[in-house]
Amino acid sequence: MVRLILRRLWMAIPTLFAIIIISFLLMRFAPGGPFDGERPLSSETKAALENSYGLDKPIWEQIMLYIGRILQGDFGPSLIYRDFTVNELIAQGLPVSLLIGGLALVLASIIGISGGLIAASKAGKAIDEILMLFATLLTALPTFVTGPLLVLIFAFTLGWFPVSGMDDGISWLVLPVIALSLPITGAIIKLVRAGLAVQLSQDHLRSAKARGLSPLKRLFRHALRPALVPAASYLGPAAAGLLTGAVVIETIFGLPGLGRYFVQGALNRDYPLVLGVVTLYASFIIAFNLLADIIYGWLDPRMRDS
Amino acid sequence: MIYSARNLSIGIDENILVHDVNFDIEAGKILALAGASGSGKTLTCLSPFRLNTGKASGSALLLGQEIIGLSEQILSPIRARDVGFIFQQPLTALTPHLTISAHLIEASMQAGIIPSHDNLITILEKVGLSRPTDKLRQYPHQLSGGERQRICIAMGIIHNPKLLVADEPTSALDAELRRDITLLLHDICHENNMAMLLVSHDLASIESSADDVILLQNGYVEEQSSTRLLVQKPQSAYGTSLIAATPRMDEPISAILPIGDKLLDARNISVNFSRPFQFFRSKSEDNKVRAVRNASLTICQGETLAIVGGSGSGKSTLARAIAGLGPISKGQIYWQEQELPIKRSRQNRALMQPVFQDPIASLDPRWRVGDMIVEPQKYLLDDMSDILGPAELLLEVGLKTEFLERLPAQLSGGQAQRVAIARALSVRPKLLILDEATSALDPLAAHNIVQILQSLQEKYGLAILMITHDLALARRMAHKIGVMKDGQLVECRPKDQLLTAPQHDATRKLIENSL
Repeated sequence: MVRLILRRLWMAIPTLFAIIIISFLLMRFAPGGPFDGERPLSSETKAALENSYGLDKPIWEQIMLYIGRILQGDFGPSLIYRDFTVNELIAQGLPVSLLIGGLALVLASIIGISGGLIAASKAGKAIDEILMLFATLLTALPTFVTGPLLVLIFAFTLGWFPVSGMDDGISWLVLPVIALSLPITGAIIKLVRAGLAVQLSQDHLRSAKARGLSPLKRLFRHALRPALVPAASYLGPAAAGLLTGAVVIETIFGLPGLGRYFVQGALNRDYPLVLGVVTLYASFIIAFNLLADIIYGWLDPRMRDS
Repeated sequence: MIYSARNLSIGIDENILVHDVNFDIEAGKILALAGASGSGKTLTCLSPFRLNTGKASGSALLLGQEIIGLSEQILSPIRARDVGFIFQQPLTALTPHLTISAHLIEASMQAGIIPSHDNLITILEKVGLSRPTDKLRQYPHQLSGGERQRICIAMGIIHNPKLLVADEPTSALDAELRRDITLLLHDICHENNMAMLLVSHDLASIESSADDVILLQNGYVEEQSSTRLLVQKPQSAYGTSLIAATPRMDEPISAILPIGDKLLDARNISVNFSRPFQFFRSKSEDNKVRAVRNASLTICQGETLAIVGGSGSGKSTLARAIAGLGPISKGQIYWQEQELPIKRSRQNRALMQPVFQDPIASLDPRWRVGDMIVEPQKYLLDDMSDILGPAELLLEVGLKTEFLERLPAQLSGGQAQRVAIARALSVRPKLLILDEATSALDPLAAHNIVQILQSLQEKYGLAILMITHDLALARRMAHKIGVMKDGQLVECRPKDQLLTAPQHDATRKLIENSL
């Protein structure tokens, strides 16, 4: 197991570099640049600006310089938010994004696993059908639909929660966290339900029944843990979903998270900002996949030895 | 009386699949339910306890209490307290994320007994497991199939039940283990004065353990008597054919067909597998698994060579190396004095054709029989004159032309294996390589395959290389028998010599275990 984790960490290094280089090149090949404003700059000014940021050097040299800086933990200066480094912008935005994303993942896991358990234990009954329909609906509805809908009902009409922005309390968190968690909840319900359906027909459950275990005990003690393996493998994609979802949610709810910087950085060709956020996102997704491997090992001891 | 059935019938949906079974099992006695697959033996044993989809009617009395018609809530504690169950598949019968001790403790607690650590050790020793303290901490996947079945038995008896229900407890195990486990069950029953209902299609297991036997065919009781009487003097036609179909070590050896010139000469075959890459490997540890070591054998036209050995002895690996289907690390293979290349040509492949253990798995589920059996002709033959067409091939294996349109799912195990043989025959091979070709089949279907192979051998002078764990079957079919142990072909001689004067311990052990 330790060997597996070390090997995954080792593999993460080339993966990250490949992502950085590809994103770097893609950004540069996209038309436009950071200094193309509504009012064109004189070519001398533009050349001077590009020179001061090192954008006039050959592209490979720029990549090497950039990677060199990243290795020292420096993502460089933002080209648009002058006076700010990318590190500072990330330090501002990351806590908000982490808070929303983390809470959404916890909420999605709790509701998803409970929903899957209920559906599987009532397989074929009305409640199962309703839950599965509900799960399909959740996965199908994008956050830019559910977000504004939640705002319309719970903020504008009922007035329970703030419409947007953040304050000192916690009520501002409720709607963004729910909106972000909905699609993942749907997916987890389905995965847990399917995982349990497979486990419940296994031989070892019949053995447990033969030993006189009650249906509830069979479900929790003998079926649930192996049944969570598919849901655990969904952690990596779920992390990616949370990050991309956060981009939309932070924009809808006007929250100063990482996602907003990401969108604005991309629109403004703020190369260092976009690359910084991409590197961070990629590291998150790799970390979540690693976490999934560790959870596998806990869920199913067979994985520890393989 | 521990367990009795009166007019016990089992149905699924509206269909009655088992009719009017009657029996009584006393303490310390073993009753076996025998019959081909689909005869209803598992339904008969599990349905009264509500452990499968069958619905039982009639009467089943456990310790004087009627269990048919009881609700799950009432039946469940009875199962936990008075009955122990052992199922066919030891590999999947244990919960993967629970340790052995968790399993044993749970089984005992369900019957209301809290076991001490010493109780657990004692029960593991009783079922013949070594290093019981270590075993308690291990997970199921860390144990072998035989060890897991012993754990299942330990779980079945830890609470001292009155009745043990064992559904094919040995059929997923190899021959040596099968015998050990059968004897273990027999001894435990007698020591604990337990009654046992044993389901098996293996007459050898039944003969060595059961007191009485019920023969089922298509859901009807064909014969019910003491085991000894059934074996010595079967009363029903079905019983007679079943006894005749099962190879025995003491049956007379039938005349064997004459053999022709030497076809295949395999010299000093070795097969090594590398172990998976490991960071920290001790220097002394060899990086190779030596699956086959220096095995040499010859096969002549019209000759049957049986390679016999336990699981993991390397017999299948050797057969695959010879067939050109698996890796070969060292050694040469000559066909009529010509060396065969490592990478076989199409002509080479047509010379020898394989038939595998699981007939259904070796047929593509989406192909029709008629297309499947002539497929090899397209790829392996240049000369398409005087080849057999699909209908003729089916006739060779005793199937009617109506099977041409069938899909594998519409075939029984025996029929599917006949189709696999027809497919192998389609390219006019000189040698058939059979890897446990009959061991997944019930005795009658297996016997049918054996007869077909023998008639094909007589008709075409086919050479046969058969891999089997069943020495009695090898004795019945083969000219020569080779014994494999730990990758070595320890002895390979004409069968009468090998059986009457074994030279190697492994051979002696094998003969002893087969009696």
